[in-house]
Amino acid sequence: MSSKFYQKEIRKMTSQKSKFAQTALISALAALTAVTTIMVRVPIPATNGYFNIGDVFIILAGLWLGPKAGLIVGAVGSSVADAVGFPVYIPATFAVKGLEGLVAGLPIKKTVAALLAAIVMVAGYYVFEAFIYPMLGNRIPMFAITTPEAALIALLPNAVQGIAGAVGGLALWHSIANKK
Amino acid sequence: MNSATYNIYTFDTFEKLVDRFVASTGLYFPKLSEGKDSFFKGFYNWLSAEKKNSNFALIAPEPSQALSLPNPAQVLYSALKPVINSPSEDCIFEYLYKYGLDPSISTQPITTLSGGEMLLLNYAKAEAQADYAERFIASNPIFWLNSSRYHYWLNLKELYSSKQKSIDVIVLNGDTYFDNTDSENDFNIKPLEFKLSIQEPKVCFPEIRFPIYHAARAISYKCHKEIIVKSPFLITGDNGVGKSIFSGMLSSIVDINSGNLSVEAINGAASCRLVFQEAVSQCFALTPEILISGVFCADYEKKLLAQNFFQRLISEFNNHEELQMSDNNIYTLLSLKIALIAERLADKPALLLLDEPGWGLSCKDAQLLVYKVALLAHELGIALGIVSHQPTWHKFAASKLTLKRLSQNEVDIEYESFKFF
Amino acid sequence: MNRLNFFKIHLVKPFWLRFIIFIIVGLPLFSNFPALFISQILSKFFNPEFALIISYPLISFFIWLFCLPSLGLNKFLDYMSAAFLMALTTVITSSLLQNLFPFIFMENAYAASVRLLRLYFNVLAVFPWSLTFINSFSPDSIINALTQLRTPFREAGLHFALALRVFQHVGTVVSKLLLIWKERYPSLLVMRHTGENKKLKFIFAWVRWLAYSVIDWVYASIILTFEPIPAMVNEFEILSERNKKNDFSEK
Repeated sequence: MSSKFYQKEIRKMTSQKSKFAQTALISALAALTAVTTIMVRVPIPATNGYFNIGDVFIILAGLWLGPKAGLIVGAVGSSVADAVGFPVYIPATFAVKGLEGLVAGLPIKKTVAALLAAIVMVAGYYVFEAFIYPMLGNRIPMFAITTPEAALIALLPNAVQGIAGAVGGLALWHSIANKK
Repeated sequence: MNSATYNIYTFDTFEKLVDRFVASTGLYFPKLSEGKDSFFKGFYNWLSAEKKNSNFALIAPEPSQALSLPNPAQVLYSALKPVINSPSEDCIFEYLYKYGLDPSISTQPITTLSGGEMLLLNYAKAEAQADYAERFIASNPIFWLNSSRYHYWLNLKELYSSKQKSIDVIVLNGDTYFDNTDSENDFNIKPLEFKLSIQEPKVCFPEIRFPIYHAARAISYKCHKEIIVKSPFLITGDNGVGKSIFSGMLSSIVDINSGNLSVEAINGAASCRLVFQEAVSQCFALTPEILISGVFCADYEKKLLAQNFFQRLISEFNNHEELQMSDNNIYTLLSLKIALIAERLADKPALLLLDEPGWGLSCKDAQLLVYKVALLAHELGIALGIVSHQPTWHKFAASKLTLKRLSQNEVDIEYESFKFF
Repeated sequence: MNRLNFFKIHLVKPFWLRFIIFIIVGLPLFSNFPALFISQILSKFFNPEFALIISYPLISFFIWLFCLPSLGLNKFLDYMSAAFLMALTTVITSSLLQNLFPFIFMENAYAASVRLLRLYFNVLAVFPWSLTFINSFSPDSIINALTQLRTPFREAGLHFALALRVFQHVGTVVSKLLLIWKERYPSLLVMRHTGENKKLKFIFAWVRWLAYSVIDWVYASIILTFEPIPAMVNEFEILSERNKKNDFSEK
C-alpha cells in the first residue's frame, strides 16, 4: 500500500471516528512508550543516560497515526519515563524523541521514515549531550552531566537503540496497522 | 413511549455470544481467543467505522470489559456524571452499598476485584445509567454471583422495567439462572489423595498511590491444620471472600507474608499450577500451538506430552465441528483453556487448580472439560481443584474447602469430605 | 492526629504548595549551591576536598529523610534497593569504561572519582525523590477536576482526563501481565522447563526464549491496552454529548 494512500486512509479514519478515539490511541501508545522505557533500562555510564526500547512505540505511533501523533507520543511518553530517575534528561528527551516521532510520521516510504527517525534520534541526543548540555552546564550545574567525549561514546548504544526501534516499529506497524 | 421488553438469548459458544453482543451494541469487543491478527483486524475495523454512539447500559461478555476505568469510584463517577454534575464520594458509596459492595473497594483497581464483585459493580453502574441509557444489554449477568445475591439482579431488572426500558439478556446454554438445563450425566471419578498444609497464611497488599490509589489491605486465613484432601475438590465461598487470592497463594504467585501454605502429592511433587478465571489473558494473546511450543522450547519431551494432552482433550469435544477440523486454525476460548490445561499437566505438578472453569463455556462443555481433565490428571497422579461458587461443581467434588469471612480481614477455612466417594 | 502526618508531603494542601516544596527540596540535586555551602562549613573541620565529598551523602540523606515519612519504610526500602542497583551499575560500568578508553576520557583519576561519587549519591537521591514526587499527586483527583471544567475548556478537559485514564490502565495491564508471567515462569527471566540440554544448547535456547518473550510481552501489552479502548471512548463520547446537550438547554 502506498504511503499517500495510507495517509488518506488515516485522515478518513480520524474524520469518521470521534477525536476521543484518537486521544485514547495516542495516550495508549505514549503510556506504552513510558512503561517499556522504564522497564527495560540499561545505563549508559558515559553520559549518565540509559539504553531503552521505548522507541519501538514512538516509531509505531508515527508510522501508524501520522506526524502529530508521533510527536506527542515521543515527547510525552519518553519524558514521563525520564521523570522516574532521570529528570535532568527531560528537556533533551522531550525535543529529540518528539522529533523522532514526527519524522517517523512523515508521508514518505515507511522504511525510510523509520530509519530517518532513528538517525534523528541518534543525532539529536549527540547534539544535546555534546554541545547543548555542556554549554548549559557552565551556567546551570544540573546540566553538567556529560561531555563531548562522552557523547561520542554514547553514539554506539544510541545507534543500536535507534536501529532496534526502527526495526521493531516497522514490524509492529506491519502486524498492527496494516490490517484490513 | 416505547414498551419495555425482556428478551433472553442463549448460545452454545462464547464466540457466538460475543458476536451477538457486538451486533446488539455496535461496540467492538475483541475475541482475544482468535489471536493477535484477528484482534488487530477487528480493532482497525472499529477505528475506521462510522462514529456510532452506543448509549446502552451494558454488562459485557467479560465483566471487566465494560468497566473501562481503573477503579470502582471512577467507574461510578463517570456513569453518574451525565445526571449529577459533581457526584460526591457519599453518593458513590451509596451505589456500592446498594449492591452489597463494601465502600472500601472504591479505590481498588478493577483488575483485583473478584468476578462477583465486578458483576455487582456492573449492576451499580447500570443503575447509575438507568436515567439516560436507551436499553440494557446484559451478557452472562448472573454467572459470577452466589445465589444469595440473585436478588440484586431482580432489583435492577425491576428498575429498568419501571423506566419502560428494554432488557436483552445474552447467555450461554445451561446458565444456572436463565437456562437451567443441567446435564444428567453421571461423572464417575476415582478420588486421589494429597496432603494440604495450612498454617495461618497471611497476605498483605501494600498501599499504592500511582497510577491508581489503592489502600493497603491484608487477609489472614485463620486455619492451622494438615489435611489429607480428596481430589477432585472444590474451593468455594461467597463473592469476594478471597478464593482467587487463596488459589494464588497455593500456586505461589501471591507472596505469603507470614504463615505457610503447601501441598504434597503422593508421588512427592509439591508444586501447584493455576488456570486463571481470565484464561484468555493468561494465554498472552498467543494461539494454543504457539503457547505450547514457546513454554516448552527447551524441553522437547514435555512439549510432545503437552501436545498429546491437548489433542486428546480436544478430541473429546465431538460436538464442536471447528475443533475437529484437521487444519485447525480456528481458536476458541475452549481450545485456549485446553491448551493452558495441557501445558500445566505436562509439567506434572502435585495440584492443578482451575479457577471458575465454567466461565465462557456452555454448561455441557464445561462439565465435559472438567470431567475429562480430572480423569487425565488422576491418571498422571495430579490432584485437581475447582475454584468456584457455582453449586453445579459439587457433583464432581470428592471434598471441599469452604472459605468463610470472619471479619473484614479474616477468613476461616472449613474442610469437608463427601462420604459417597 | 498522628504527629508524623506533619512530615508526610503527600498530605500537604493545596497541591501547588506541595509542588513548590518538592521543587525546593529537590533543588540540591540539580545545583551546586548547598553542596558548596556545606563543604565550605565542613572545610573548617576537615580537609576541603574531603569536605566536598561528604557534602554529597549529606544532601542525599536529607532527601531520604524527606521521602521516608511519605513513602513508609517498606516502600522506601523497595525504592532504595532499585536506586542502589541503578547507581552501582552506572558507576561501576562508568569506571570500567574510563579505564578501557582513557584516551577518550581525558580526565584525571581524582576528578573522575569525585564526579562518579557525586553521580552515585545523586542517583541514590534522585530516584526516591522523583518517585515520591509522582506518588504525591493523585491522578484520580486531577481526572475528576478535568471532567468538571466549564466550557470552553470542557472538551479539552475530557480529552486530558481520557489520556490520564489510559495511562492508569496501562499500569494495571502491566501488573496483570506480571502475575500471569510469574505463574508460567516463576524465575521470571529463565524458562520453567529446561529439559536435559547441555550448557551451550541451553544458552541458545535461553536467548531464543528471551527474544520471543520480549515479542510476546510487546504484543500482549498492546492487545490488553487496546482491549477496553472502544468501551472507554464510548463512555467519553456519551459524557461529551450529554455536556453539549446540557449547555444547549442552559442557553
